[in-house]
Amino acid sequence: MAKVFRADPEFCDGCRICEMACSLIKTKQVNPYLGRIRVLRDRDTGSRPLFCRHCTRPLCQEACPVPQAMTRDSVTGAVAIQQQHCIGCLACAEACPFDAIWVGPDREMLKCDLCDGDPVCVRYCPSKPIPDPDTSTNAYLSCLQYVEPRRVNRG
Amino acid sequence: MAGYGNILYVDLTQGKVKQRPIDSSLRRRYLGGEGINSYLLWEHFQQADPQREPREADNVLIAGLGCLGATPYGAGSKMKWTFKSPVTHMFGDSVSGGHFSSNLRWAGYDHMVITGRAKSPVYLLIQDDKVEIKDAQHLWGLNVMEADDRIRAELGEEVETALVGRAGENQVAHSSISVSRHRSAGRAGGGCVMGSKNLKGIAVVGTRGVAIHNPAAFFQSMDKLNDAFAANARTRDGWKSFGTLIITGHYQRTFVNAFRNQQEPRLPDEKYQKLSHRWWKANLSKGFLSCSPGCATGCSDWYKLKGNESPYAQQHAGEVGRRPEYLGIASFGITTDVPDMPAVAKLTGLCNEYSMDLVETGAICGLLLELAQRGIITDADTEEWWDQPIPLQWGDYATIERMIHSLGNSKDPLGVMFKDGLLRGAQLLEERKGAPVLQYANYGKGGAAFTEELRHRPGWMVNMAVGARGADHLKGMLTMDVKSRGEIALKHFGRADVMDEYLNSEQKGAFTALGESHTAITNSLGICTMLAGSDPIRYPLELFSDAVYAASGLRITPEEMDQAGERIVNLEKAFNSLLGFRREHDSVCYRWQKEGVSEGTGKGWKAEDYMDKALDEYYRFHGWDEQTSLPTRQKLVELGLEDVAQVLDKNSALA
Repeated sequence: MAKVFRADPEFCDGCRICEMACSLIKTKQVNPYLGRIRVLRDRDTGSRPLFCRHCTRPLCQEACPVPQAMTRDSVTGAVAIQQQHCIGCLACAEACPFDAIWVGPDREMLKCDLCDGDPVCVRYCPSKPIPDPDTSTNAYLSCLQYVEPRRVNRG
Repeated sequence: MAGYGNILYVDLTQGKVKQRPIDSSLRRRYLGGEGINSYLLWEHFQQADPQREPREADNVLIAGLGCLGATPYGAGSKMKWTFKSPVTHMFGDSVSGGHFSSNLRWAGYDHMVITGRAKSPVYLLIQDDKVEIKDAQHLWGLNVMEADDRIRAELGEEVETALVGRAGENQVAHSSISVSRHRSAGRAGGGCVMGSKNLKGIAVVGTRGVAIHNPAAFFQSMDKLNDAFAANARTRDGWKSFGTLIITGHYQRTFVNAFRNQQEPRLPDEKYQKLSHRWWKANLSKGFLSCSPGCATGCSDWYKLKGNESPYAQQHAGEVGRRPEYLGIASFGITTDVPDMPAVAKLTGLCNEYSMDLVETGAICGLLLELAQRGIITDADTEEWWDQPIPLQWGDYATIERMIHSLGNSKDPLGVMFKDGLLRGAQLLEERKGAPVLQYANYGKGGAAFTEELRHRPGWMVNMAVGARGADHLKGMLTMDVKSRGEIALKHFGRADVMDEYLNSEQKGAFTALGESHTAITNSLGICTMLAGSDPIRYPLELFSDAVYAASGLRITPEEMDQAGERIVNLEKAFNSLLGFRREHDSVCYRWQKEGVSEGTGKGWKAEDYMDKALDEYYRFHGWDEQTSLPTRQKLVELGLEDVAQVLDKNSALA
């Protein structure tokens, strides 16, 4: 069963480790402008991540004029760009309702591919302690999560 | 070389910009950040006259971020700003968080050296390779938030700024640099240097990124840091949940909260309840915030007032801001006795707006209030300052706000009197009043001291006396100096017991020296001195040397890093020695030296009882001369600083 990539924006502290780690694993350099996930920051208040949901019905894929350029991975469920077929028309970026597809400096399209099922952003997203004064223990939650669908409904 | 950017030189007099790469021997000897900054300062003042007034065009403003900053490493991105201090007239530096420094690295620059003085107000715009000196007439006169709003409206949301407000423009000595709106390089007067250069600030967008030498190894070094965080979950959780505010509780228990201008070492309980980290969490906290990119701890926070939180909040519902750090609470909550957290946050934010050091500002306000309590300042004085007689009372935040405006605008008699900082203002006031003023001022080395009760913490007190940039303990983070950290003492001094208690003056001087070298390393790597940066046992140097190698390919051993830390401390000491500072300048103010703590576990403790002996230890541990405090040729040669020894010798500043 494919996992779900999701986020709890209230736990985003704007550290940008996700976008930096993403650019590092994809391009060998730290450059948030090359991240396949981005952090939207308000200068005075909080932050939230912009990320690909790998939708069940991907509007980006529907908008893509080249059939082989946007495909779904049968194992991970990732909706990913096949760069060799991409014509760089930006239709996917325009169609995404979550602003989760970007254009790189060389006009290549930048989109999450779930790192073959082990997203590096999730791995390094810092977990947050929620202190419980009664038990003096902490419940840990990260902003970015890659979980079984049932875990999304933790309620 | 991967992992390192260039040095950007900006000459504001000539309007010229150039850059040069950083050679690998410089990296090995000084690491980056603070270390290379201090080297560049020394280099600059081999040409320029170091004795000149810090507001002269000959002064230099240097900024630098070490090679683990602006990466996802996990310990934040902290930039060092270095200059000759207008407050202390000696070496000056200060750290800032924010996203500005990372953008500078992503634009391709690890360091920036700004010299000269522009003819009219300008700001510097850096967009990767494109560096421009731009007109700032339209920004001059604006405070920080408004200037930042204007710059981003002109250039785009992604621009990050480091700016001065009106205090910097007015060349108030203790003006700070406000970075990414909310994070300040507060201490030592960097904003004054910026203002004296007619430089409103720097705006940067970096899109080139930083190449990493070995990404797989770098991810492994991130894993190791995370493992170390996990192994020390208890301390880290406290820090994550409350940030520096957690210190308020610790200090309350150990009599370090310096109430009402340090007259008492503890807040009254009902006031503590309203200024504690728990009050914040229960009433104002909106969530975790990282102050800079790459911080896996995220100890900052923000708030939006509902209106029912406190008397101040009732008048200001809807106000949004960042949570003050401990020094904000210390400066305004504790020193000036305002037990109203939203008001303290507002006063702290106002200092940031004007770009003024919280510590110096809080200490000035605290002194004035104490002088009013003692009848030395009366309504006649306030009438002279503000054209109306306003009584000065502890906790009256509206009047304290008025003082901050006076100090920042530097126009009315109060602002003019304190333009050169706490000590000079106190001297002027004492001359004018013919009554004791200086003995109530809490200062050291020409500037305000941290607003903390440290007379019964000898280790930290020595730090205040010797700090290369002035009277505080952040140049030698002694969080090592706590109970149960005997293993550090055992490693370095051969005995575990000396660090068992704060209330123990043995070996604390040596410990201070050790702390200074370690902090210099941390500040040179571009990471935060809190948590990982200040605990060499739980976060050993091996972690960082591995990460530096993975990031940049620079193979450096922990021993070499240790030596680099010592080298940096020695170079900063050499600069101060060149300026004429000797052992007699390593001292603290009258109150700390002569008056005992009034209550609590440290009752009766005062600095004169242990300072001399501790200073002997301190100089001995650094390998400096005990009589004069001057560096010795032997030590400098051991660190490969023969050329520095030569310069000192020529200027009669070598032991």
